[in-house]
Amino acid sequence: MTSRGRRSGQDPIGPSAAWIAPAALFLLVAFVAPFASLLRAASHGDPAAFLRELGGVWTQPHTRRALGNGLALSAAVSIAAILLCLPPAHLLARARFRGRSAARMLLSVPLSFSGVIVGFLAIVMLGRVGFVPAVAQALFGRPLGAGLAYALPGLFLAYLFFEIPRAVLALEAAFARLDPELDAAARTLGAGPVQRFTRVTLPALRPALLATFATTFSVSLGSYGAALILSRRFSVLPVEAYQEFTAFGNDAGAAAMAIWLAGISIAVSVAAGRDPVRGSEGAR
Amino acid sequence: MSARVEVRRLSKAYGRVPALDRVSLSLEPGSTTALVGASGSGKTTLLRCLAGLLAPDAGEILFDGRDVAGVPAERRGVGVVFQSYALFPHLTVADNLAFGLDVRRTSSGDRARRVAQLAEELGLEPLLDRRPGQISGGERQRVALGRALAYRPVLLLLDEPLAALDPNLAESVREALARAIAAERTTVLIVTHDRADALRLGDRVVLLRAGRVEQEGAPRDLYRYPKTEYAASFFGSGALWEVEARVEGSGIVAETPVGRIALPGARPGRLRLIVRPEALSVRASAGTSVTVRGVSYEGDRSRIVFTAGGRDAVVFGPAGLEVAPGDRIGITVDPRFLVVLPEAEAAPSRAASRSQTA
Amino acid sequence: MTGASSEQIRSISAAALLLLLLAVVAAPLAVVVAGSVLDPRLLGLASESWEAGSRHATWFSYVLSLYGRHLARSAALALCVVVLAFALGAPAAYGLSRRKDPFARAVAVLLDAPLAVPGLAVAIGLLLAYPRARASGAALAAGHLVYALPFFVRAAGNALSGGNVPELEEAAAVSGAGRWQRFRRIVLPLARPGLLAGALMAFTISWGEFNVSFLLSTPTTSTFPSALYLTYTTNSFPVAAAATTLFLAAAVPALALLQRIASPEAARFGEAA
Repeated sequence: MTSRGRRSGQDPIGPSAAWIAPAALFLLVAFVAPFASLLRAASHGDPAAFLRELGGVWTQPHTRRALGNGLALSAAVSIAAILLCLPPAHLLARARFRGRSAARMLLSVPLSFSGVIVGFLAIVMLGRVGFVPAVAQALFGRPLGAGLAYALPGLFLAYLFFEIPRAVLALEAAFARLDPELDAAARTLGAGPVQRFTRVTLPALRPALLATFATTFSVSLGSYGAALILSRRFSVLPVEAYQEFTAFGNDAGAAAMAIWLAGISIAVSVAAGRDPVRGSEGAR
Repeated sequence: MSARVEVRRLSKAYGRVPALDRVSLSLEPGSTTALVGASGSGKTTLLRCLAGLLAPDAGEILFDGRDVAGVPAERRGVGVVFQSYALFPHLTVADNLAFGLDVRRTSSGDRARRVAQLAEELGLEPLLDRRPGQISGGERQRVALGRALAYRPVLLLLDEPLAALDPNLAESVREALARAIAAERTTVLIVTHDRADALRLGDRVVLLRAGRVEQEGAPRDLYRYPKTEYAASFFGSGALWEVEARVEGSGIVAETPVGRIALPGARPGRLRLIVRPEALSVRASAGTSVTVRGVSYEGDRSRIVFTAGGRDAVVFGPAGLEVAPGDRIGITVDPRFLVVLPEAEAAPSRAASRSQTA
Repeated sequence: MTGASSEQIRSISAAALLLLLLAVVAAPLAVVVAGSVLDPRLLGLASESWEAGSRHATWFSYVLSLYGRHLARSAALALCVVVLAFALGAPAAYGLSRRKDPFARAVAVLLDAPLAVPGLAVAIGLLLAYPRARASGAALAAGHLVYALPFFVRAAGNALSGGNVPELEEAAAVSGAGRWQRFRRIVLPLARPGLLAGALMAFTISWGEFNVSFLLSTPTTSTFPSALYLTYTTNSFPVAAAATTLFLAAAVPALALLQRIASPEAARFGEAA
């Protein structure tokens, strides 16, 4: 098979399909087969049972609430991260200033964090005896923000902290790919700053904005470390799935929840990738 | 609608590197000027200053007598065709053409009429619903031109409009460009590094060198009467000969590597002559005898490099001429095509060491 | 003139926002690192539950005595993931950057697919498919590699498809270099920055991985991020801060090096899942 692939390749000097085969085999074993196991566990080999299990995630109040929590939180955090990071990303991509690479480096540090660390940092800053309330107590005589980490705003801020590096680095790359002459062209054609942003920059960035949204949304939806550390009442679906799997041994239920999470993430990624403008992104 | 544009002592530096150094020029309403120069001569800097995309350090730009220093790019009413075209990738060809009218809130009827008119002028009708990524380089060029013309700019600036196109395509685009410019009757400035494009497209040609105007004038004059060695070599090939002119009888004559020639109108003293190939002819049995150094056949003619007076020079011979390196041929000079450089130019020692044979 | 000043206002507010983001990222890190060496009361963080004393000279030695094994396992696992990512990913990047046949396209899609799938889903799938792979840590390594491989291949592939690598390889071929020689002597050296960037990304991903690891690890295979979870839920603040600082001590240099050698690849890292 590999030798035939080699002959049919248009590039006789280039690599044969055999170079790709080990990685393909690994993905088959470590990703495709496990995914198939998820589907099998949720269905017990019966399509009707499969739909029942998937439907169960939606009909049971606690899993539906956990799913809704995750969707709302992920969407809100992703939109907030993009809005917050657009101007700094533009600055990092276009302006030349000292400390630019240091700034980029610092912003990239949370990329290595798991949600658990982010949750801990939220407690350190906004816990009942956190740093921010301690400073506020010293300055204003009142422990402002104390205990915020355990409430919904704290969870939102923790997830936002988690998504800032992803959003800012992805958007910086998008701005760097954007032809700066487009803005200059729009100026000479008579467009003011607002028109340039809404009619030229934003539409030209649309594929990147959608891709960034898809990434931050998927990451937030799948991450559960922060919720695990911070929330007592606010549950997200991965935590439910984890408990279902480990505490109750309900493979089918846990698999159904995993399929929901994967299905939503994949659907968002596919929707973001199937953008009509994307095909002409390379045009200058 | 076309403006008289005056540039007065315009200077612009990037850090300590000067890009424009007290450049002055004026563009008559409705004229087409070619701004030509080597890369780094400041052409694009001047264009961007005119468009309002760069603020000059000193000097003024006047449109019909009004200083435009405080007018931002979006209110100058200047059309620009960018070198990269900078078409909006997310808009169709029609929407790209209409962009300038759209942001001016032109009524949709006027907008549609103008887009249709431009599409017809530029042959873009079948492409109106495509996006820039789906059309060819030459088509993009025409869209960029149409987009810049749509709102009837007072000044049209074109930055290297033909540089990104292959030679065959460039020829047809050059014609389309000339037609569109003629039809729109606006003031046009074309920036180019290509001397042939400059001579062909401009009513006037301005040669920039290291941020200064080296020479300006009608295309023919720049070729025939260059004022400096740089201008002479920029617009055409030719050898540089330094000669001693003296009074002899009623005229002026000079001893050149190909014999004594009359130089009517020249002043006695040391002179520098630019000897273009068309000033020389090959003769079988007349003229000064010189040694052939190399021959290359160019189809309809032969390009012959010969040595005379220790210098190389070029002459074109008829295609059938059979000569080989080492042969002796005769050369005659037609003084009408010789260029006598003014003596005022600086650094003769440097000029003498750099004879032009290319 | 109004255009210029509104432009200035825009860039000043963008700069202010950038400074805010930098402060938001830097402040908790500074507090945690300071908290690992200073008396927490200096930071205003003293509380009864966090006031637990220690028999150890420093909080770090206490953390090492508690979680030293987790730290060593995490380091070994991350290095293992880097080696495997290189062994599978470098040839794959070479093949994918040059082949456009349906097989290659399908593998390219498959390679990126895990980025859209939550880690817990992959972990549950791995456990269901290979129930016995948990104890050995094989499932854990596979779970990490599934997420590290796409980044490695992307970073290496960008280095390979850019420039004139195909032409250079043709030149090597007509000079008599065989397939393996061409890969080893032309392709790999040219891709070195990309490969290094990919290796650093693989390391960083494995080093911080929690979503997959939490379910896949057993007490004998559990990694440092799981230990951090344990610390945060059971230990006092200085211990947790010291553990977090140890985590940062490996993550920050890796990310800094990544920024230095390959900014475009690092930016793509931001598009991570």
